[in-house]
Amino acid sequence: MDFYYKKLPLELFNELRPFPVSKVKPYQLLLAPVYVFLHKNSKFLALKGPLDFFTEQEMEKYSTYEVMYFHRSIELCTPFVIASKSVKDILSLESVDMIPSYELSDSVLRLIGPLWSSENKIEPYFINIFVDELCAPLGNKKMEEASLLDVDLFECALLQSSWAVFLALHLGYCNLNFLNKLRLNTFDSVMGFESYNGKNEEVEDLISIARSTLKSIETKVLYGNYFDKKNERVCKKMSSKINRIQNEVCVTGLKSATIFGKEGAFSG
Amino acid sequence: MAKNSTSDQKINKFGVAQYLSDFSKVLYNNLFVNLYAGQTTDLLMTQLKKTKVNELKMRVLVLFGLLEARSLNDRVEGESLVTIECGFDDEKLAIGVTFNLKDIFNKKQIELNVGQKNPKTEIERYINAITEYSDGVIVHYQESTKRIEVIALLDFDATEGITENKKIKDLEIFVFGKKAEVPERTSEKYIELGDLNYKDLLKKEMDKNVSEELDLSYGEFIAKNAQENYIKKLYGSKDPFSYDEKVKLKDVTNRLYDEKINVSGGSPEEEDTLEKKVGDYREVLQSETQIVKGTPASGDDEQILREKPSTDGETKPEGYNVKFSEDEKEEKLMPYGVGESLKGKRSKLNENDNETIKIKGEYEDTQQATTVKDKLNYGLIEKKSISSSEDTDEASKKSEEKKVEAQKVEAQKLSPIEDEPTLSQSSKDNIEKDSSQLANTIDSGAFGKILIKGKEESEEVKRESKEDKTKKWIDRFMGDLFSEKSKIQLLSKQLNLSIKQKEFKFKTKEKSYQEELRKRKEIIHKKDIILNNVKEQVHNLQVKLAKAKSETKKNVGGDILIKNQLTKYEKLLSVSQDDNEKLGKQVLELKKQLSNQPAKVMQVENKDTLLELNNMKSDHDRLKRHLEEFKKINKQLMEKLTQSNKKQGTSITKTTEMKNRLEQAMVLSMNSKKEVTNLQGKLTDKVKEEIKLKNQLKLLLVEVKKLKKSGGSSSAA
Repeated sequence: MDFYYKKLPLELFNELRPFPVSKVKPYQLLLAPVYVFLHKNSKFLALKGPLDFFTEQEMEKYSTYEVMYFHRSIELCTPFVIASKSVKDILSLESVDMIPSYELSDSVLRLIGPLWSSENKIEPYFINIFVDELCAPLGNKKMEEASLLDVDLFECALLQSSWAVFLALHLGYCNLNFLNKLRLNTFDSVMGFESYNGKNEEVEDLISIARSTLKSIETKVLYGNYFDKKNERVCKKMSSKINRIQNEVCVTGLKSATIFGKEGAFSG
Repeated sequence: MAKNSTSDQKINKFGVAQYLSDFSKVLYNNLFVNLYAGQTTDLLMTQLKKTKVNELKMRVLVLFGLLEARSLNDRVEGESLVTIECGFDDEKLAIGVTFNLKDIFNKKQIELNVGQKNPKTEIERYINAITEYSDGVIVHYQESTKRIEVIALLDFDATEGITENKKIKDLEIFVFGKKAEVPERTSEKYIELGDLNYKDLLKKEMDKNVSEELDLSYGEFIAKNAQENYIKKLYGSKDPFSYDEKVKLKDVTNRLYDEKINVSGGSPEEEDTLEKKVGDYREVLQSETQIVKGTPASGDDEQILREKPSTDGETKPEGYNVKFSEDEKEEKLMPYGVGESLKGKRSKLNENDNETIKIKGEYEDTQQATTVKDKLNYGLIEKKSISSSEDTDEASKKSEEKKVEAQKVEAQKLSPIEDEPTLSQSSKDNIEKDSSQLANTIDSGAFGKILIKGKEESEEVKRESKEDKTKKWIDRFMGDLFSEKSKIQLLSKQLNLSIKQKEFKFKTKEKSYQEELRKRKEIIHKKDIILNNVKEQVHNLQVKLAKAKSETKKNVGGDILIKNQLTKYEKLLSVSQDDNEKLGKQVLELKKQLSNQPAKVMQVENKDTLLELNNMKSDHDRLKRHLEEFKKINKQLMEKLTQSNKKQGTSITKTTEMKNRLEQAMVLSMNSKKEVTNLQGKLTDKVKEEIKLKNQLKLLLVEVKKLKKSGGSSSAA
């Protein structure tokens, strides 16, 4: 994804958030552009963009910097990370099987519902952050391979697979293993590594909706009212869920978080 | 209207909505585990209450469908997933269970075997069982995914039992491929079970009111409700006590009820009647001069004992002279666990009845009123102990009968109980004492004396008289007098007894009320304590909450502060680094200048170097100040860190982050310190060099002077 500043002068130091290099892990999707400070030039230089990751070799190379700087747009991700970790905590409970499925889906919806803005929209970038935090990693080799193959396609696969998982969570598919596999399968099918051999027609429908609504990385925002217009069973179910979110769960007056424009780091 | 069968269209999609009207409602749930299938069924049922669905069938279909699907299910995405859809419209209910079939699906074989009711495979048995309990079954099978949906239809009319054999449709099986070819038919509304207000829906209405307050189990609650209803029936709407109080006062109440059974003659009305009857007897004694013939007790006596003429003339069952009728009594006392004791009492009463009859028999045999009086505790019936005479006239006979009957009735009324009274032995003794005192008073009083005198005189008259009639009359008259005397004694006894009983009853009532009052006070006190505790807890929580809020605010503020400070550090660091670089460059340049430039030039530039030196000094001072600032900030940070560590034991992650940041800051400050020391070293070197340069300059100046002098002299020469 394109972002505004490849280089930042020292004066814009406040735009960045320092982070020890030791905390940055290889093959972890980056939440915001990452910079290092060049003493000679007195400038911050961007190493990686969002939805990118460091390889092990790269981490060794950059470890001399001690401190890395994330763009302040990373702060926008906080609610999504918190929600994701909360959902993960619930679904990872040893006693999760002892919770009735309807209670489980209700609790999950109460956590993910507020991620939708009161304007009934959400940005796919944040969905990806949410799902990346929730699900197991895609795998080092797979990520490296995919990014080498086609960066845009890799990013698109990330966003679409995350969107499919996010939709499945809405419809009460509250099982971590199931969601991990769904993400992996969707990612593989988008990347063309494997054709999706789904065993659940509703999940198939979800994937096709995810792919059709998020055709490319150019899609900046996803609207909840999309489902109102559709007559498919899955869309009707989603529409009902979105209605509940807007009526009960969503925080009224909450503006949607955006990574574009002045607040974010991305060029629109 | 419901959507018609699929004969007119090709089915290639899952979902129950295809068989329902456009305005149907579908409830669904994805189950990865089949636990709480019962609760799921309950929740579905709460939404179907308004329909005419056969609840039993519906429950069987859902539970059987879910549980059996588990054994037939193949794992999807590594997990065993069963989806249930329960759709309904005005006419019917459709329950669809969807899962991945691990067995082979053979449409023709299934149709044949299930049609003949001869299932062979597991899936056939499953479909067959669903067919048994439903009014129609539709099976969807997707070959590519091996996913199967078994939909059971329940016709609301058929479930009413009017036409049991009525089927919406026979078994229909649709096998389809992967892609949908026709637009999907959907329901108007899809609701996931988690979206329902399941907490309230599953909670029964009565439970909602009570269990939250008292935290009762269902069994306890049901028992409580039943008891409360009974109590309401007993007291009406003016029930003065709450359930808890009643439960706590149960024993007291039981005692009260026992007293109602055991103690009689306690009501003021009855006391009035007693007084009236005593008065009546006096009147009888005074007015009746006619000798009547005594009649033996008839078999109606028992009836008389059990019946009491009411004021309106009707004979109402009086039972055992208790407040309630026998049935009422049993009904009302049952909830308090006194049913058995009541039965016991009844058997005792029957025994007493038998005893009464026996005594009556004895009385008939002996015709001795005293015997009867002695045998019947507290005097049941006092019979007139005058032997019957054949020549008694009819009028006297009738009056005698009337009299005896009245006596019986009055005795029945006056008799405290047929059962043993619950008075203590001391009370009994007191009553006996009082009664005997009264009897003695009567005996030793004027009436007794008159009687004795009358007896003596009558003996004289009898002796003097020759006529049998006169003798008989005297005997009868004297007998009457003595019997009336004994009656008066008896009545006085009874009066005493009733007074004592009343006293006793009032005392026990007073005690029980006091006890009730005490217990109620205790309850109120306990409730007050609980309330206070709750208030305290709430207060503590509020305080904690406020503290937590302030701490979080502080932390947030602290984080921002640390960030800002960190940025400051880094800025200063970069600035100091730049300064260092500049200074280094300048030093190098100076060195070069010193080593290479001629003395003249140096003379000119010496001023610049001095200026630069001044600048360097000022820079050095500035750096020193920065260093001091750093130190201060570090101290503050350390203090804050220790404070936050103390306050926030739980927020380990934040503190670790803070520590990391602090470590970074420390590293940075250390680096800056090093740099400053280096700079100081360089500065001292520079100062030394300056001194050296100055010295060299002096030497050069001396040389220049010398040269000038020599030049001057040479020029002069």
